Amino acid sequence: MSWVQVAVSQSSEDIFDEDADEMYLLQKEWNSTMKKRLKEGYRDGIEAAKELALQEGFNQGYRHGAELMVTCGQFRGTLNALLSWCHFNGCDSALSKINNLLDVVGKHEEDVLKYLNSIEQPHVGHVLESVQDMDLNHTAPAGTEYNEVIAGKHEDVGSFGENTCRNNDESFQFGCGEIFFWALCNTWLICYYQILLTSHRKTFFKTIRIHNLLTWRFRFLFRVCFHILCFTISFHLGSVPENSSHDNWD
Amino acid sequence: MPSGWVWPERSRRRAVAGAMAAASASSDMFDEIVMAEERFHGEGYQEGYAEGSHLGVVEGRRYGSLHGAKMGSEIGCYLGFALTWQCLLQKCTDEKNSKKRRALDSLIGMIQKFPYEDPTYDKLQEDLEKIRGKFKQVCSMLNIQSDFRIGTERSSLTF
Repeated sequence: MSWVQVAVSQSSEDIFDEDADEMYLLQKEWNSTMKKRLKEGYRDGIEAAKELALQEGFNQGYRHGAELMVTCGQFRGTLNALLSWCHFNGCDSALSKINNLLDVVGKHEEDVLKYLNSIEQPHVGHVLESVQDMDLNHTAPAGTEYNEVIAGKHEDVGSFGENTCRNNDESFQFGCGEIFFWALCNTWLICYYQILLTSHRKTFFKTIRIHNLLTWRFRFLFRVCFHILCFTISFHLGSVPENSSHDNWD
Repeated sequence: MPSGWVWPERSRRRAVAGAMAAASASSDMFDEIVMAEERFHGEGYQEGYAEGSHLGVVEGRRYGSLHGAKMGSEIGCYLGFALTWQCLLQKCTDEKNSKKRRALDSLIGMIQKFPYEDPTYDKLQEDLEKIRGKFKQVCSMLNIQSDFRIGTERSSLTF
């Protein structure tokens, strides 16, 4: 009974809608709960790993920093000793020089500390490796030179655009000659089809005695072969040296 | 119930086995749902662990290099000072200078034995304090005021 079916389908649709709403909400709740768990796990993982990794990193960095600065410190100590010696023995001429050197050393140490304090500290070895990978054989041009190069390139862009078609792919250059040939072939094809489709068909083919071959298969094959032939001829004409096509364009 | 309607043994066993399998399958299914929270937590933990170890190493390296630099600079300063004075006092073979030279030699010996670049050395702070004390002693012997700040600030001896 159709009314029963309709009633059942309607009620089932309603039920389905309710279920769909409920399911959607439950799904959303589930997704948000799982996302929360994921984030909690992420945070826990970061904390746990940081504790371990901090000590390891500290040890590595400590060694690196100490080796970096010990020579500097030794130089500073030497200068201090010389300064005190000069004070004792009254060599005032050397005092200013020693003080200048001390200032320079102090500044250098400050710079090294600033570098060490920066967040990203690539190891010198890594930097050297990446520089070697870049394989830089020449120095980059200076600012003004680079601008001139860019300006010069702008003039070339116009002519470059013209040449792209020619220079990109020699095999698909369609100069005037190719287009003419293609038009000729198509004109012949159109005439042939006109003959085929009109009443002149029988008389035409009777004269050339291929009336038996006028099946659709033959027509299809003939069309395909003809197109392939035309393409091949155009292809070969196109791959002729550039001089001919250049002349056509000019 | 008709007499012939006795449930055969085989089919009963099959039914029981089927029920058990169903029960275990359903319990697996519930396990999956219950364990889903653990699973997500674990996945997040793995990702966070990888990220955290990288971050921790970078941060630790930064702190470590600062501390190491300060230590290296200080120890290097003492060493350079002592070696220079040793050179300068080599020519003087007076009695009063022999004491100074002996003090300088002991200071240099202490510094050279000190593993300043090893952060895991357990007596790092102790030995550093001993070296500082010895240095002050040497400076007082040489009549130099050692009130220049040990560190990386620009320093020069004041008199």
